[in-house]
Amino acid sequence: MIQDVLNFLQLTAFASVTWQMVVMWGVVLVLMYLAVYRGFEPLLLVPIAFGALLANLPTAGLINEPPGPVHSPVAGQVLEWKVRDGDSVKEGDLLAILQNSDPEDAALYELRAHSHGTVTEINAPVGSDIHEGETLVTIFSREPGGLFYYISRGIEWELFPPLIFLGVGALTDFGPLIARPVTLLLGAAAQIGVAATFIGAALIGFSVGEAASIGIIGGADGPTAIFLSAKLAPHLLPAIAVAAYSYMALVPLIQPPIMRGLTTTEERRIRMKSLRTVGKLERLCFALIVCIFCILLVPAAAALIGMLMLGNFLRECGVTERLVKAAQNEIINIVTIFLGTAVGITMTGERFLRPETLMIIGLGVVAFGVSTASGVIMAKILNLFLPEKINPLIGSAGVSAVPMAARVSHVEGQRADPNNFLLMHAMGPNVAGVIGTAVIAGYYIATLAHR
Amino acid sequence: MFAVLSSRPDFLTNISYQTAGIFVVMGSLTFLMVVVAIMGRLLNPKPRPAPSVVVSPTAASVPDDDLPPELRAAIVAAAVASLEGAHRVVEIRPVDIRLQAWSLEGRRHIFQSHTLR
Repeated sequence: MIQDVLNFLQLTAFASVTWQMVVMWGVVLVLMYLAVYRGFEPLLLVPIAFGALLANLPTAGLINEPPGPVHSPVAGQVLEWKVRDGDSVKEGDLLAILQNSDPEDAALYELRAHSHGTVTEINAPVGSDIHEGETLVTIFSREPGGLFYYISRGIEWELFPPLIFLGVGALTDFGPLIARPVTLLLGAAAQIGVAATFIGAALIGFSVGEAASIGIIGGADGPTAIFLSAKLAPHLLPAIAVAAYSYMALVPLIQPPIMRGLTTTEERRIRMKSLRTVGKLERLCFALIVCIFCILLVPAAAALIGMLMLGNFLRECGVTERLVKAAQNEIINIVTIFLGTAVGITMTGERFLRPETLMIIGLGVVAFGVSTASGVIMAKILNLFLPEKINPLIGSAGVSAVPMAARVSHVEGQRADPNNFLLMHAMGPNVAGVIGTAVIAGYYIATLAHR
Repeated sequence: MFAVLSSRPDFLTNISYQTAGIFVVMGSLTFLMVVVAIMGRLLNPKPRPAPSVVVSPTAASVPDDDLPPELRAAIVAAAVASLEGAHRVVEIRPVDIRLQAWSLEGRRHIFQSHTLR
């Protein structure tokens, strides 16, 4: 019997626990504490943290890739094959050594097996030229992939962020923006933080794709950050997603000191005229105009802008109640669970416990700070020209983070004048920030994705 | 510029690239601002001047006779200035400061936009 128990113990996974996993359990506990006990973006941080926990357990059949073709990660040449037709391989086994033809990155690549199975077909002989994405070898097995392999396709194929945007559009009232169109400029100004952080990240050694993905944290728009990172720097996705959502939750702590530092008490007391009523036709026209113009301008962001405006059109047209309810509730909730856990499942210790993660978290707060300051300064500049002054505190709401950033503007305004109500005024730049972030993300994708 | 942007561009190239990006964002949102402003003008022609509201101290539409006439006139003037179209004041009552009337108004706007036919 003792032998049976020993045999069983050999089948357990206790021996597979690594120090990285243990450290990541600590990270998971911190995320769960922030979400559950401090209320920091719990709708996303809880699924992310749980996904990260699963990623850092020696699971079986949960995240493994299905067998099938193995594609070349680079363009170049096959230097050596380490397997032959008919060999059995395990996940992670070395299959071949590749030479990258890119003069900027001439390192040798190790091609490894992505799943268990049998090598059935080697398509590229030693010395042959290969293209990126070309099938080099096929692994056969009857085992399917794990659950999270398939759920993660939602990020890799960029399905989840646009679906979240459908729900965001169905939940967003663009009325304050339409009533005071000048607030669009505040949403645009906040994107300066994205550009500034891009420059900073590039200066400390990140590639342009990585720098764009880090900079977009300043837009304070989680789905856009994930969408852009999945295209330009998928290996940084876990750190960027965690930084983006953590800082969105920390908006009430990060923004107020910057807002107070850049404004006088008199400016914070500026009262704004109440917004006019916006009619249904105006709202419908706005959704169509933004959709058509932004997609023509940056087709790379079509999935985000298109779904955002589809959700908003459904909401405003008044004849699709069931669809609006689905977008506002079931769709966005289901996708949020899948998006969060799929991001979390990428947070393995090997990928997350790196110096880059700390740098990304540091750059993220810079991005947020500069975006906040840019919005406030733009509001002050506009006040030099506008006959009806705007309260510069609403400029900080140009970072997306809907509606948290608008609420922060409102609260800061009430600190200076308890009877000043800025909430609805701040919603204008707040939703403008969503459009601005999507546009700059489209600019980066259009110019960097196919380099 | 984009065609030659390397994966690690020098500082000046990067500045130039980011400036172009901010120009795209600013330019596009400025264009949208102009279009939305024009749309607002076209779909919301300035309302004709509201019919003059004559308030006499004995007006039946203001039932609270305890209010001084100047205060009644000021309240009606405020209503005319802030509300579109013609209105009739039917009741004047003090607002409890704890109610945060403007917050309620904001909330009412939000909930109104959720109202389906």
